[in-house]
Amino acid sequence: MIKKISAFAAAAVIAASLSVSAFATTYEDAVAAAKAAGVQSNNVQELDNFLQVHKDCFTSDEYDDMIADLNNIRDTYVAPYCLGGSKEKVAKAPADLSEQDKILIGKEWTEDEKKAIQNDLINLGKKHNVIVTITKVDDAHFTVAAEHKHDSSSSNGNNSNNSNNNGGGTTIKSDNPVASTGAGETETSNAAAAVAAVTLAMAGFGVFMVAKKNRA
Amino acid sequence: MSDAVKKTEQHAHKHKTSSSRVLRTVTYVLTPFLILVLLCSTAVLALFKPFKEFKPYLDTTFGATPMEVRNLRTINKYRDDDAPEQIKEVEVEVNGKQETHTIVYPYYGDYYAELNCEAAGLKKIPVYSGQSADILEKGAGWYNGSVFIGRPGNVVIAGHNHTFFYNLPKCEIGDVVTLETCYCKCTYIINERVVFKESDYTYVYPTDDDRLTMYTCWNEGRLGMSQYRLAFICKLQDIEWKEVEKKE
Repeated sequence: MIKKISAFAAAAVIAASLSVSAFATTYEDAVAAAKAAGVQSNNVQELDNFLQVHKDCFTSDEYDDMIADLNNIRDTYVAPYCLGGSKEKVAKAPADLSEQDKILIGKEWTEDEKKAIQNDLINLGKKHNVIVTITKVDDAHFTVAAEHKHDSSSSNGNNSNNSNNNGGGTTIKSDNPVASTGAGETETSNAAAAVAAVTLAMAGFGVFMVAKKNRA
Repeated sequence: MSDAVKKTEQHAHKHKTSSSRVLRTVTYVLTPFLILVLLCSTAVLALFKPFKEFKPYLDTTFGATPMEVRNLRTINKYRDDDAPEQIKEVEVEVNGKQETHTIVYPYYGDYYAELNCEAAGLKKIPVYSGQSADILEKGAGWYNGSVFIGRPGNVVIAGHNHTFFYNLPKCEIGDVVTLETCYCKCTYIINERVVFKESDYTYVYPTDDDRLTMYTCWNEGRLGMSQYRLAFICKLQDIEWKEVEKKE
């Protein structure tokens, strides 16, 4: 009888653990949430790349937290411009937006909204030991860099590579999707032109003053 | 007129004469100097545009040698020297079967791969992770908003038209392109040539098919900056996975 009970208990524990693992949130879920939130597909790919590399650094709960945050961004900043939203611009759900639609909505954001999204991303990173740096925000794009410090004392220290190393590196730094691949326009040559222009103006002014004085 | 008044007038005249002499001297010295500055500045401004057009050719002639480029491979300001290697096992579908292979994920700025397209004269082009200006000085750049090499989707690589992708316009449809990392070697066949505007992201967005997109600035065959890009879209033919040894 005891054997039967213990076998039943073991089966129950296994079944429970299986069900837990079946519902454990993974990095793929976080990426799917970003897609559904209307994030631009190249930024979703950047997130995918970052999480692919660091997938073991985050727990299921942390992924849940990321998803909650992404859903919040979707509901607060994207959904109002989508189908049925208070400021409807595009008659589609956030998950169905095309890349052009996403740019259109991005252009509608006020400076305060952009700032709020930036702060949200930075704070989300802080919570999970990821240094998020936003270097540039234009009409519709955020330039984001994400660096994960491999700190063995962190709460998510199940990264097999971090036992001896504390060093970190930028895994993903959001570049312009289409890079500047021509040559010629450099900072040095632009600076030289600017100096030449200022000198020209000053010299012209000097000549004018001298000529005026001579006449007097 | 009293002597005192005469003296004062003489003194004033003397003073006026000496001050006008100083002014004249200053004028004689200053005027040619100012004219010289004026001419030099005008020359600099006039040469600015031709210099910009000529600079790529100067860079091509006097730019970094392949040896210097090789030395640059190990320098990466975007990561700490003791940053751990990012090695992970991934499930890959090969001919309908699931296989496990190892990927060494690069940090931003790391040397990542070598690109070859023998037919077009693109030989041993170093590919780095990222596309910032400093990275594109060292080699071609893999866009980290595209998939990692070997993963399903669109791999996007950009390079300068006056250095590493100078020969890119020579590519033709049907040419074989190889992309080799430390964990896999991908073989592609060029199947499309497109010219697009830099504000059009269509060709760099993720795709459902497995492809390589290589692009550079397109200035109607001339070097220098342009708002257009010339891209070659290549279809994946084969992936050869390598054994990866973990460094202790």
